[in-house]
Amino acid sequence: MIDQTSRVLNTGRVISNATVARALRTFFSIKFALARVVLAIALSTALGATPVLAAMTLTTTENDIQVYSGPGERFRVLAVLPAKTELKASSQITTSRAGRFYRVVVPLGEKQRAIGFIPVSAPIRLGGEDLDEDELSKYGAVALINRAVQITFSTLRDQQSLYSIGYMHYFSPGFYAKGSVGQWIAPTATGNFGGGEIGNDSLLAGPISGFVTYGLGLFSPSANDAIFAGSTKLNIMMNATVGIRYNLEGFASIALGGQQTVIYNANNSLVSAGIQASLEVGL
Amino acid sequence: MRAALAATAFIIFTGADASAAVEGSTVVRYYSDSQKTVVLSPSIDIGSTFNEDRMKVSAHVAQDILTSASSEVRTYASKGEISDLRNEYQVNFESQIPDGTLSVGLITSDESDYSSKMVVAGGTREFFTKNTVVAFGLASTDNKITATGNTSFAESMQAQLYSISISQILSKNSLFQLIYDFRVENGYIASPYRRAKLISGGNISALNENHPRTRNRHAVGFKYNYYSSPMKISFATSYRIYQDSWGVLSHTLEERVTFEHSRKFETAISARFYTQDKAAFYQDYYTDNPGVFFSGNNTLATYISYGIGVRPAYNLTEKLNLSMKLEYFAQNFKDATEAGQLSTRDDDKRLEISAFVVGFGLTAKF
Repeated sequence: MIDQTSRVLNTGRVISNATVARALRTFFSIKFALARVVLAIALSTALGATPVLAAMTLTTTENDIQVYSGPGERFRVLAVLPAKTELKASSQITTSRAGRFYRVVVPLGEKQRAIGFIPVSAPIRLGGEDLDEDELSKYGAVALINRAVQITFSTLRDQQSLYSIGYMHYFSPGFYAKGSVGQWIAPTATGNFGGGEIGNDSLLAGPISGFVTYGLGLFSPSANDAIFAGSTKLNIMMNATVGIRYNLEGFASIALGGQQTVIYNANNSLVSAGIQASLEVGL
Repeated sequence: MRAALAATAFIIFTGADASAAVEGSTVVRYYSDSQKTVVLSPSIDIGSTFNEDRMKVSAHVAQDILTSASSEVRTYASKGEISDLRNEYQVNFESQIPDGTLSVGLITSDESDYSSKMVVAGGTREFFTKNTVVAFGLASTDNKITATGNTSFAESMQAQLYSISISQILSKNSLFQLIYDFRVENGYIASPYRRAKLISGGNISALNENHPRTRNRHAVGFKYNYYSSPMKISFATSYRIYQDSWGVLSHTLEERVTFEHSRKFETAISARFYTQDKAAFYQDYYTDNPGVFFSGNNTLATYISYGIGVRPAYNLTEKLNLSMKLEYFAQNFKDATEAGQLSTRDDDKRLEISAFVVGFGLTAKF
């Protein structure tokens, strides 16, 4: 790499190693800066980080209007609005590969607001273009994906750990179901498991959400008595997790939480607890 | 330094323009039963909302002051009476989220021979314009067990609780809730003081009880609440079926009717019926070969229990509420006896327990 770069920079003079290093730093810093600019433009285009403009009032004319967390139907639904709901919307339309969207401020609770996106084709009426757009720039877009692959790793007490890979689907804003398979690793034995999980995930502040999950599945160790005295070839596994998730704009999230897990049958059980880290990548 | 940290934490959590609603309550409960067991239980709760009422932190402190001269104590303990003190501390944090809540908490409980730490967490999610609510609950607990008079005895027990429920508003006056609880216990699930009774060769002796080291407990229940506007009466009906891996099967039926006499005064009347089939390994007396597991725990026997209660409550002011509780309940055991003198069965009596509970509560908002 250095040789190639030296050739690129070489104008016939002898270049010292220090100069090469300095040039490399400059080259890469320019390249990185350019990349950041390109990324920022791409993100601002994708997520609608619009310049400050006048805002409009948008009114839904039918029931069950879905507001997405990002500019596309692959993003999680933030809210489902009834008819005659008034929202503040940006006068600039956000365009993405999925189409054209209004960027709106969505009430998520009595006192919480977030940025959402409504397709321009939705049954809505526009009006009032003189509104102040401060509120629209005050909230950042979160762009939570609604279908994802999730990889988890848990470190549990007594030198046990488990990892899993699963597919998750959000059925409503923050409520999801997941199917997963994985492996439990203990110092002297291993076991495989598979099952389902439901979870409750919701924005707490900015891109940070809190979640609670509840899982149920089947666990099969390599042999009888392998994981605990009395364990058989087929046992029931339950787990629950509570933690926080950081949503990386538009494509992924990382999470950290406390986890409790139990494997049991009629003979005996193994209860354990620990910390779970996970990575969720949108599909 | 500590004060500065506390002040910083307060500012972080409350913000400059936060409004807070503080609520405190205290309850004193007195229990007395026919087994000469008396428990006095004072408790204090205090909670405050902050961050524009979106978050709430609360604390709970309680004590149980117990003295007992029950039949078990009289038969097996070296003294005719025992006493104990239990202290419980609890802190909870709850945050409102869009269409729901998330919460975490920590509970500790300490007695001279039993200490417990529990982490709890949960969440709710509302659907269909708040007509349907799904709730999750989980808890993990670690317990240390020792025995008075036996310094070499040290055991532990871990337990986990998984709970899920769904509530559905049926009309503007009625609500239905379906609940499933699963609790698993692992470790020492017995008492170092209780004894199983063994008849061997015409002699009766006492064995330290030996229970399985795991117990998987399932419960499914429903609740139905109905409010009659014209009569200003609310009805709360609940049923619960429970079964565990020890073979215990129970049914609980409960009804509470609340009469709203005026804006300031209401009275609740409650009735409860409970029936239980014994654990597979439980016997009042074991003979010759008791098997692997044997128990002296009467609560694993076959019995029925019923109770009635009344709870008047009065709002002294808009921010001050006073309540009182009177309860009576009875337990009739089918296969558990008071042993009296262990050496003979002539003085045995079928075990029956009746109890009164009196409680006073005061709730204040600031």
